[in-house]
Amino acid sequence: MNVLQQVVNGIIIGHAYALVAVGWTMLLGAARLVNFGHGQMYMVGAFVAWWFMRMTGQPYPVAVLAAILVGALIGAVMLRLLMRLTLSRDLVSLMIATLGFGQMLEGAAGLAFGPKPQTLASPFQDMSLHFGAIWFTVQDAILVVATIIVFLALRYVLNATRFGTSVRMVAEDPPLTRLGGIDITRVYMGIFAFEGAAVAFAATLVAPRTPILTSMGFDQVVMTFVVVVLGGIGSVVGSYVAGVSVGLFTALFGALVSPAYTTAAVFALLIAVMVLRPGQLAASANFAR
Amino acid sequence: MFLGLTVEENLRDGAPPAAGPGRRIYPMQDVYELFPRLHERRMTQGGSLSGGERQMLAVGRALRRAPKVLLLDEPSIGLAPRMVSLLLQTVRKLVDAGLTVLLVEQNVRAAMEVTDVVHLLERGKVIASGAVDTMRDDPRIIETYLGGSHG
Amino acid sequence: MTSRAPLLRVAAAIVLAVSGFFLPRILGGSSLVYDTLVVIAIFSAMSYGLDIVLSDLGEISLAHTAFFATGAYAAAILMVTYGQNAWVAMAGAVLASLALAFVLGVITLRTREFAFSLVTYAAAIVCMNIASNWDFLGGSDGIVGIPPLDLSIGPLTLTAGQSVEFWPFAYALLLLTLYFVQRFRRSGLGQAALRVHMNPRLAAMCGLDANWVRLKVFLVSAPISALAGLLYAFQRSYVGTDLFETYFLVLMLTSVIIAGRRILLGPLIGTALLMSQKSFASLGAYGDKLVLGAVLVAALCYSPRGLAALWPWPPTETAEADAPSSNPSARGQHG
Repeated sequence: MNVLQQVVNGIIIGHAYALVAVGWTMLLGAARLVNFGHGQMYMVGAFVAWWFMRMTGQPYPVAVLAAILVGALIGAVMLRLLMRLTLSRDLVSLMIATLGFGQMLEGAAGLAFGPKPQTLASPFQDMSLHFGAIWFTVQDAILVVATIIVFLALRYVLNATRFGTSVRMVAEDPPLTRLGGIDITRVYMGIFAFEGAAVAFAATLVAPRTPILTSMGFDQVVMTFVVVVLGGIGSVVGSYVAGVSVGLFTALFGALVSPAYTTAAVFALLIAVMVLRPGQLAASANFAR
Repeated sequence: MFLGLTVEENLRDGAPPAAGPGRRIYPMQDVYELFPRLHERRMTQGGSLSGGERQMLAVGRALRRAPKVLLLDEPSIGLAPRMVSLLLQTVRKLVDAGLTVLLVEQNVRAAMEVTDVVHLLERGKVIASGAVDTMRDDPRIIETYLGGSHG
Repeated sequence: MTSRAPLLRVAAAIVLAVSGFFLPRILGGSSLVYDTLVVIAIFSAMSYGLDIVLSDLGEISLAHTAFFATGAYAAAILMVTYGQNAWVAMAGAVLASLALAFVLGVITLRTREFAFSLVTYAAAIVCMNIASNWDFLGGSDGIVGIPPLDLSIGPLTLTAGQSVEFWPFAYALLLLTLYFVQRFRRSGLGQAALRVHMNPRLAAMCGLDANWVRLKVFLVSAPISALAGLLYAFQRSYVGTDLFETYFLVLMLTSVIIAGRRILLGPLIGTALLMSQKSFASLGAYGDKLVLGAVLVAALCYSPRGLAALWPWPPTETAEADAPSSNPSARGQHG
């Protein structure tokens, strides 16, 4: 077995996990919201890109942009619907509501896109690069580069812009933020839209690898949750490192032990961490760093 | 104040308040002039500031909102005497510049050095009022020092 | 409800129970009516498992789909792979779900609120992952060929094939579940759960070990959903990984939340409303999902404490009144 290749695979998958998780960790860190509709938003992102390419004949990159925009829109719609709950910080109801929202997305997607598996065709998926014993597709390379760019950009925005500062204020103390004259609704809108856009972007980059179904996506939440908890809730660097680590773990576990039970293995890893470090779930002290 | 933000960020960000009669807008410069210590520590996180510095930051943040009246609730609590007097001197400077300040303080002695009018409360009732010069010799004030009741 | 005239209440309950039995016949007795009512009975029983944990303990368990599936799979394996009878299958379902609940309960012992929900959710997905890959559990094809329900003991024949014959069993499960939940709420454990939910610190000072209470409630709730799953396996004659789907989860949650907390008939009414829509006003599988999701979101946005809270009830002085603090979303400070 080619260990080096598995490491490369792991790194690639890891970047995918990190990118899928970044919006979720921001939402959780800044708005204390667990988005159970995350998997369905991922699925919709992939399908919107597919549908857009089919309907308009536009090339893949344009479809990606379309998916990002629709994703941001879905995030904004979700906030509008859940606004009252978000502002009253009724976190438990909010959490269940996202589960309902996810179900709505699943139903709507099924109605719009049908039950058959489809393929999101990216021209880069078929181009591969070989370096001695290892190889990967151009799509993979794009995924890795895009993820790094997104993370760097996010870090910059959060720490060096006014909007980023207001996000960090809202994450720490919404009423105090409001007292400072900031419109926290706008801040939430930005956070929710980012989650929608980021997960849709991630979906368009990752989905070309396998056929897509409207029933897919719910298990994304598990991987995402693990990455977020391991990396520290709301931590930018943490999500990146955790994502890549989990990616390496799944690639090596899949190759050495069993490809089918990777989800179970990752979950077991999560439980181990939670038992050994019970404070890990409250690690929002590292928000935005 | 925000523990996760730096002093600079705490002071800088926030919507600019509306100007109006009796409201003076305090730009960052002015706040730093009033509190040089904050300027020194401007890149420090809120959570790493000392008690006195936090109070200064809190006052600074309030000033950034261009208040008509500044309400201070027991700002001396937990502060060393030198810090208390520094803080209250700065408050005095603000008053001299035209800001109305309502100061609630247990530390009667320190408060009386910087105030113009004193109201003495005991168990929620005003038991004495007057200009600070006349109140200084009021026996009830002296009793308050020694008796340690509410100032 | 007050404790005036307990004899009257018991009589009323009996009348309701008996007339409930004849409900399908009253509604026309068609096969569709029977099937719908059977499914309502089964799914509400499934929801009551969640109801105990949510309404009384105040935690949102997202693992009850796993208990439901465990009951169904246990029945299937014991009957098809090992050729056991239905009574053994029932015992197996209860034991299997208790085992799973114990494992999950221990894992989540110190977790609360969103962490608890996430871990239970993840656990359910992991169970699904395992079920679709392990041949012993039928893999992605599931297990087919479950024989018709046969609970005959000695000379007493209790079998069920079609929906009409199935109804008495489904209804019996429902009545048993209702009785069980009612007794639970009156029991020491039920009261302890409420105390831990409403004021953990005070409960701790009274000597209640929150973790132990939580574990026990979780354990008690699992077999309810499992038995519902078992019955469902018989009704469909087949078990598969679709039992783990979020659809059942959302269904359970909606039916528990929509009426209000700690209302005995709440989940039953909720399930009845939702399944009636699915049977009699269906918009197709996807349309129904959309409706279900929309109902849940709407219920939470406009009336998080349930529709019962919107009704202008006359003020009562009962101990069982739906107090604001029994709402899981009104738990302490969210900071």
